[in-house]
Amino acid sequence: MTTAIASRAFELVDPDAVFDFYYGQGWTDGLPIVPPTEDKILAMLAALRRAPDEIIAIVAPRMAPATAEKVAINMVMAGCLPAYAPVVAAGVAAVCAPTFNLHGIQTTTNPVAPLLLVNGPIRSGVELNCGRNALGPGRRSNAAIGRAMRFILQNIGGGTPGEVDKSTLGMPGKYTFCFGEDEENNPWTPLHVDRGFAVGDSVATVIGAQGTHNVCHLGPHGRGALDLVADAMATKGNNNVFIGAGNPLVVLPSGHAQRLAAEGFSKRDVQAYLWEHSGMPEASYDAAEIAPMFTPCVHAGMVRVTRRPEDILVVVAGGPEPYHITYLPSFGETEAISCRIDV
Amino acid sequence: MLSKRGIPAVVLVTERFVSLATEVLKSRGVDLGCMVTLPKTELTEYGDESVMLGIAEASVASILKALRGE
Repeated sequence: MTTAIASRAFELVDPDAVFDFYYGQGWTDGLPIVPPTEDKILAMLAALRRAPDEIIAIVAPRMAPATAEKVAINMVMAGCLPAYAPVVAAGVAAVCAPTFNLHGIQTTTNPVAPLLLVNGPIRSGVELNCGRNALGPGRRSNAAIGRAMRFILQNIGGGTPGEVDKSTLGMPGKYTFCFGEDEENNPWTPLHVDRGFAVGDSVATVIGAQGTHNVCHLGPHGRGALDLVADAMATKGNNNVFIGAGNPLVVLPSGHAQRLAAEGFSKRDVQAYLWEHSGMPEASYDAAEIAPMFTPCVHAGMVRVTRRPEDILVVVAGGPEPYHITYLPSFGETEAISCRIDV
Repeated sequence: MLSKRGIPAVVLVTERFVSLATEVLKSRGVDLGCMVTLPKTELTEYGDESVMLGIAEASVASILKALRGE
């Protein structure tokens, strides 16, 4: 396997000059980067276990090849350790699957960004935060893996903010958006097993998520928490409601999940309950006023957020206390994609 | 893609999305001359029929010119 690097090299010594140069080229997210020196790129390539010119995927909308070398460079810039390489490689393959609709996600006015959710043993190997503040700052792997995904979409896929990425407002998840499922405190099967993988597999799942919507529930019953989540899901100005498609995500803390399990809810029961109770009467939904170009999904006189209950994804993560649940509506015209992480 | 098969084609782009369309066309090796710019998005996607008719009539000359490769 050759390790010759084909990318252009730049002679920059001063760290400030490095950042100024990369920022000026439009290759950053506005924050300082780790200079992608040859030794760091080679270490990342070794961790990817691919030849520099091996193509991992074709990235829309530029339809440019994400070669191992280009992926490695962007990973270094984002602050990744070599151990993160298999996670990012699987994430890149996942976002480039046709039904993820990366072209739409990269170019829409919607604030959607790919959320990378990790399952399996690699979570501990890369010290991914699955617990308290899993979607917040503080853990290198969560921060750098999500940031590397953004750099790859921007620098390889051409999703330049403002020019090609036409998001009206954007959202913080466009900087980085990665966490792991708290499988150890999950009373049900983890997401990757629901999606056909083995318990021992490590899997990256990407979801076209619009942002996070907190649902605070301080009452004593799991069912009461689901009523509040369903209420949050039934938001009319939401792509899932517009077309009844996509994979909205509900992130339950283990406290709520365990309480629901104790009340007799399986994960399928949770999905069915949310689907049923997030429906809104068709008569109350004025499609001509809200989104005239879309046809909502109507079932039994109710507008539904998805076609089927199982399209609502449910995972467990965060601190254990049964207080805060996060709902992440999806872009709608996108399908969650899972890829096995080659560890 | 149609133009590559010898079929005259134009790409209609709303003015706020010209930079996006330019990058997409370039990435696919399509001549930028086939691009015809329409007014801003909310007039073309969400306007009523009379507004759309006016925009269509005003664009005909540009579309024909692009189809002729002028």
